[in-house]
Amino acid sequence: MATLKGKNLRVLIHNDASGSSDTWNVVGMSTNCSVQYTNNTENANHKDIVGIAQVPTVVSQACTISVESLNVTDAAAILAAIKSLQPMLLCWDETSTTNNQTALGQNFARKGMFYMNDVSFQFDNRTNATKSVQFTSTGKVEALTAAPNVEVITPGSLTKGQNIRLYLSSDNTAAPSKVIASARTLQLHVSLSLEDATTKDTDGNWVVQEPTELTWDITTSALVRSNDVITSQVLGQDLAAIEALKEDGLPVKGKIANASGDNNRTAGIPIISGSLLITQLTLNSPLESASYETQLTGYGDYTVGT
Amino acid sequence: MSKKKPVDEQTQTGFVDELLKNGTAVLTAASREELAELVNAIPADCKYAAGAVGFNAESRLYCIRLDIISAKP
Repeated sequence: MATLKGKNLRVLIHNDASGSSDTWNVVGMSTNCSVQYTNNTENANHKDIVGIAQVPTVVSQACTISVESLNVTDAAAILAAIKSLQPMLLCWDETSTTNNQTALGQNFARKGMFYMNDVSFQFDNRTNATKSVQFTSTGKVEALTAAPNVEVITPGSLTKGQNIRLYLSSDNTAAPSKVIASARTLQLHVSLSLEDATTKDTDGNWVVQEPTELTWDITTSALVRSNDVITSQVLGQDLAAIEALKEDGLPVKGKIANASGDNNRTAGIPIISGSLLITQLTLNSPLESASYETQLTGYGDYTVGT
Repeated sequence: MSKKKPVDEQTQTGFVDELLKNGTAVLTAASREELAELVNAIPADCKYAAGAVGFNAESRLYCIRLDIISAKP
């Protein structure tokens, strides 16, 4: 008997929730995963019970799973999946040490339907881009009846954060074509609000969820440059330009796209686009380099793809 | 005997066929620019979503995953 290495405890996603094929895939290039069960309780203390301490009783159950991964080549697929508002079949299990993917059907393995309800991509300068995905159960989470049939995938590729950039326009009509000059970090976050839709007809005490609202936001930070003229030729926006956009208080067009070129400002294949409103602008001036962080909130739906 | 297609054209044709058939495909190329050229060559009436470009250090190839949103009518 030995302690199971975290490397061999993996979250798997069913390839077809409709059930026409029964194969699963691991979440590729994952670096960490956590599974959290919650027993929601209600205090059932009453006057017949001596003492003043709470008497919690379980009224419902729920489960959340979060996975962190180095694979962001599936960014568009993930952004489309959360927007589809469809639950997916997930499980977690011990995987074979021979390939870290083949599932063994352990007695602690569980499966259930989950909504993808929170996604975050981090595209930071000179680091490998990462994603973090959270799932929330809807309905019963139960033991596996057999080892999942895993379709083994080949390891994916890494994406450097500096090659993914945010492009903005100056208003909500022009195409987003200007990067934020001297940008260092970029985070894209999408959140799907869920509502407890459990009724008296619901079997068991597992919470049933229904999606209600999608929100998305982008946060990016950049260095403040002194006497640095940002011209339209280099397609960059500086602090003054971002301040002006913030003062306008109107939505602008934005997109996150693969970038290339001499100063990495040429927009390539887009990942996501839509209208955004600057909701917060923070100037940080420690003893070291001054920087500013811009938070933009999605204004209406985003578009994935062409 | 049929005329042999250039490698690039074969890759592109195979990729588009796979994309339309399976709804998803991963395209690889030796550079970001080549990758962008191949993606741009996809028929305009084929709507797709593209992920971040990745780089595989072992094969030294750039890759991009595409997922169909709506295929040709």
